[in-house]
Amino acid sequence: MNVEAVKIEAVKAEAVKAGARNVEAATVEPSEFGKETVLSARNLSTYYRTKRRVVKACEAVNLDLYRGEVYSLVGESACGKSTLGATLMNLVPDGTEVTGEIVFRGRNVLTLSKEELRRLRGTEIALIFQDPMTRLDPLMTIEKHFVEALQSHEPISRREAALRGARALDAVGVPPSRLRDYPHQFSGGMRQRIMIALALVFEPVLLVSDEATTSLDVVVQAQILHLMRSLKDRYGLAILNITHDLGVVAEISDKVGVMYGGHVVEQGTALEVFHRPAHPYTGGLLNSVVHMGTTQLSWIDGMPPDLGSPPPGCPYADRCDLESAECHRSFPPESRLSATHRVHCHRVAAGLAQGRDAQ
Amino acid sequence: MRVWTRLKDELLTVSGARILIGGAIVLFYAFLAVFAPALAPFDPEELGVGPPLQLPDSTYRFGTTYLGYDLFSRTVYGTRIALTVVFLASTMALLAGVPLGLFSGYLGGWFDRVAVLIMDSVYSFPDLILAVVVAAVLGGGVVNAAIAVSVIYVPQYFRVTRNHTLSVREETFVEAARALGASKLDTIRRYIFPNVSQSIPVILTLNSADAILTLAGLSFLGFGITPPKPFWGLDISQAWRYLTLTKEYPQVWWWTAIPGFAIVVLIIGFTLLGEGLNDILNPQLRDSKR
Amino acid sequence: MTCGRTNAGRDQTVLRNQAVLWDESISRDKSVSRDKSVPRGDSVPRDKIVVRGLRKYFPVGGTLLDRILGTQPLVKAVDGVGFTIRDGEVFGLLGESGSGKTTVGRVVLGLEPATDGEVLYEGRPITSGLPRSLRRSLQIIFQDPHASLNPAMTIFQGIEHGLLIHSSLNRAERRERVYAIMEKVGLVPPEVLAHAYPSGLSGGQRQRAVIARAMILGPDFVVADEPVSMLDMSIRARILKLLLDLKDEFGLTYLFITHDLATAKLICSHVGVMYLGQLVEVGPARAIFEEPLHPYTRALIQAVPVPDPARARDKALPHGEIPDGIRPPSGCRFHPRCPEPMPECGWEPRDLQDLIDRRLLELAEAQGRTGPAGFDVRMVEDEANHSLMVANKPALLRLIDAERDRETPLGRAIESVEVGQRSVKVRFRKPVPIPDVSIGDRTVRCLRVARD
Repeated sequence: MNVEAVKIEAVKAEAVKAGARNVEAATVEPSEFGKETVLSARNLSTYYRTKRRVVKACEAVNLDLYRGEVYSLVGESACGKSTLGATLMNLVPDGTEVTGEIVFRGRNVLTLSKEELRRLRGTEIALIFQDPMTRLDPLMTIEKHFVEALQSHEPISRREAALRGARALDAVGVPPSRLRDYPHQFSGGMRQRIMIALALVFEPVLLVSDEATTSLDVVVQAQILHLMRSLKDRYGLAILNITHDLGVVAEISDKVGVMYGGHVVEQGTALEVFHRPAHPYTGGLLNSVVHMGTTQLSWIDGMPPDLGSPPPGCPYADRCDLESAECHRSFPPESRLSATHRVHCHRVAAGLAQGRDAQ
Repeated sequence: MRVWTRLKDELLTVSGARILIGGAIVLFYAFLAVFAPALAPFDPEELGVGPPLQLPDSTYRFGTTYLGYDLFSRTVYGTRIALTVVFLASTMALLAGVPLGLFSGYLGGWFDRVAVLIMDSVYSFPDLILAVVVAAVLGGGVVNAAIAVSVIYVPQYFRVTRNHTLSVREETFVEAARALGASKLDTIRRYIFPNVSQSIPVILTLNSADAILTLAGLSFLGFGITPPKPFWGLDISQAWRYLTLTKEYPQVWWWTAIPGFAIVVLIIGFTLLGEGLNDILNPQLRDSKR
Repeated sequence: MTCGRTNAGRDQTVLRNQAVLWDESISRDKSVSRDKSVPRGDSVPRDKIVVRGLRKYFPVGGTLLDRILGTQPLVKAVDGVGFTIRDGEVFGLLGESGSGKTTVGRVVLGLEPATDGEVLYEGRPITSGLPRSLRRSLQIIFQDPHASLNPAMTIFQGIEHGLLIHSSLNRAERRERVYAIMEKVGLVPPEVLAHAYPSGLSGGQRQRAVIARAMILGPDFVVADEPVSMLDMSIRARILKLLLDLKDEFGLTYLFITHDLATAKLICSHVGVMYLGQLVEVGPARAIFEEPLHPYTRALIQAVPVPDPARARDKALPHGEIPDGIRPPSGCRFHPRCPEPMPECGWEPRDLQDLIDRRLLELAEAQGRTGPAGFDVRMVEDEANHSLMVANKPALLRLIDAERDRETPLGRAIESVEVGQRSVKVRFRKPVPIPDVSIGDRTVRCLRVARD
């Protein structure tokens, strides 16, 4: 037995002692070769505590966002994906219990002060949401939005700020002549473009999109997705895309994380997840998408678990066709199918173990 | 059981505390009104039950007036009149304003325009002057005072109900009712009214606070409640007249302070109750506060 | 005279038959008994709904004076739409929001009076409002299950209300029917869910309640207005399946309004594609999805996300967004966004205006100015003469010349450019009307298709 293995064993033992649910997660992940990590989360959990119960909205999550990559978090509603997004930005309400580690470009997000966080979110991290109207002031022209946003972060003249605003609008496909217009004069798609433009003036490294294309029409949605993809290539952005729409995920993602019951149950490159889904939930979800090639409707029976009282084992066990006794007993460990493809499923773990034994 | 635990949670918040305190005050007044005969040692309308201008002591707990009325008995009985008038006035205003607002808002058209015109002209009239005019026409007495006060508040119920109706009318479920073939009356009764009615308790309590002040003002000016009926506004009015004649202010402080205090506390009670109800019944406002 | 009487008599029989059918609406063999009313061997399905030349204009905004004088600007939400839905079809009305498809559904149901045109239900005109007796035959399922249930009514009360309005059933009978329909739509156990308020139900359950409310009246024509678009992905398939099952069981005809072409492809037998108040392509679903002829239909199909990362790549999307309907583009309404336009498609001064707007930054820099503020382009449109007056600036002239030199559709539609001292007058050719072309059982409104 070599020294390395001993070390790993020691780390694992410590993790077990610390009560970590997932032994594999405690080991340090090597970053993917040659890519600049923008944000990484380790063993991240978010619990909402109310008087009577604890809602485990997100549990032992590990993920990495790299420059120039789109990472999509996908899942049904109430699976914890929006909570995870909010946790990564440290936008959870006061009193929420967050454990684990979030590192954004070398800084631990969880230990930053409110002011530092605000600056971070305003400049290096950009956020866009489903309803842009809630972020735009109806009484201010678009120009004023740019001026105020820029002047709050750097000393810049009105004229200069407006020019940068015009360039940003131009980059997202809004005629700069509309700088003087008010938010209500724009359509939903245009407002979303404006939100992106407002985010882009600071040249962020990370763009977080929480269902930003959900309420848009197909054509406009496709346009915005195309825009996000081209911006990613142009500025080397890392994009965290939170959505329930698998079609959208396939359109723009490099990496995909499938969330279920507060866990990222499967993650990998888009091709791995879409072409070789390992988790039964991913498979079911993919089958339930109605697309142009669909010839028959299919769906997963049952409802996602209540995060306030999650089942003891795998959260998907109750809806799974392939469940065994073990699935109801313990949460499955992480199985690695490739450098990028990881899945939490007892069946996969058992299959891997068999494969190893055979060797 | 679950309703109770939810209620308990609500009551522990700031708005819950408001409701508790406001409710306690209003209940206390109601208690006084109900048990006035048992609580008051003297007939409030009887002259010379004690010496004039007696300082508060063990017999005349709030002192006496110039004519020898017992102020304690008058204050306690005044609660009866205050609450009766407020109750009658609010009920009448509500019964007139709410249905009118519902129909006006839902039907629209010329009916709406005429109703809005009338209500707006009533609303733009200064409250007290309007009440004085009505009271002068109708004469004194509890019921007439209530009518005079209620006229002021009809437009408020009308406006709130109508505005609410206008927004509820656009909801999809109202369109669904039309698709079912529901009649207009049915739509108003089953789809609009239940969704508009949440704001009524709030206006009711807030208006009650205002109504007391109006009634006091009315009585102070010599309309509405007339002597020798026991009412706080009336006592203040008489004390004030006496004071302007004799300039003995510091010596007879109880004659104005005690009825005034009774008015202020009841208004505070209704206002707290109304604000608290508002927070709980208007969830949008509540969410934005959190 | 005699003839008229006979007709009236027959109508009444039909009505009575329907009343009987409806009374048995809960029983399983309804579709069987319905078939009896249609003569057997009649292979041609009847027209359930016929819409002809339907128009719906809404007044919007305007000044106070406009409102008083009635000269408010009008949004032409529906501007001349005609189609036929045969008995038992699922007719899909497709398009982006702002295309007017929802308005068509509402006008068909009589929830909104038509400005012009006519709607026939089984041959009877219903344009001027639905008679009470027909209300229960034509029902609607709304898009937003959160908004379409009365929050102040329990699920039971909501579903029951239709029965209260249209039947004289007693309490026990009503309850039996409500529970039966709740079971049918999957609201189980009905005894428990019936007394819940909408706020206590999930989105999927609410939509089931909305469906139950429509179905309890025993309709034979249902407008489904985006019935699944607000639901979670995993619920959508289940609700769609329910709608299809109900159709088979009760012999329903659907007008299925959606922007989701994948769903439409799966469940519609016929589709009409709407753009800015008009139908651009109507016909059998299979033919349209296999070989879309109108560029807009093609664009919509292309825009549907493909759940396969290996195949998801750049698409030829239409530019910009659907314009508002106050003054729709002349000629083909889609021409400013069309990926393959022609010079005759209706190019007009406004299109040049838009082009200049889009290039403003570039133009300003060409003039040596920074920022759009430094480059104020004043443009005046002369609608009657199909011309646009722009300031005489070299950058603008270069832009217009480039369009003409490159023979872009816009450039070729320019008739003349008159350079004055301070301004330039760009005159466009008069737009030609776009004809409807019938190809087989399909109708397309596109000049390019008409030429081929």
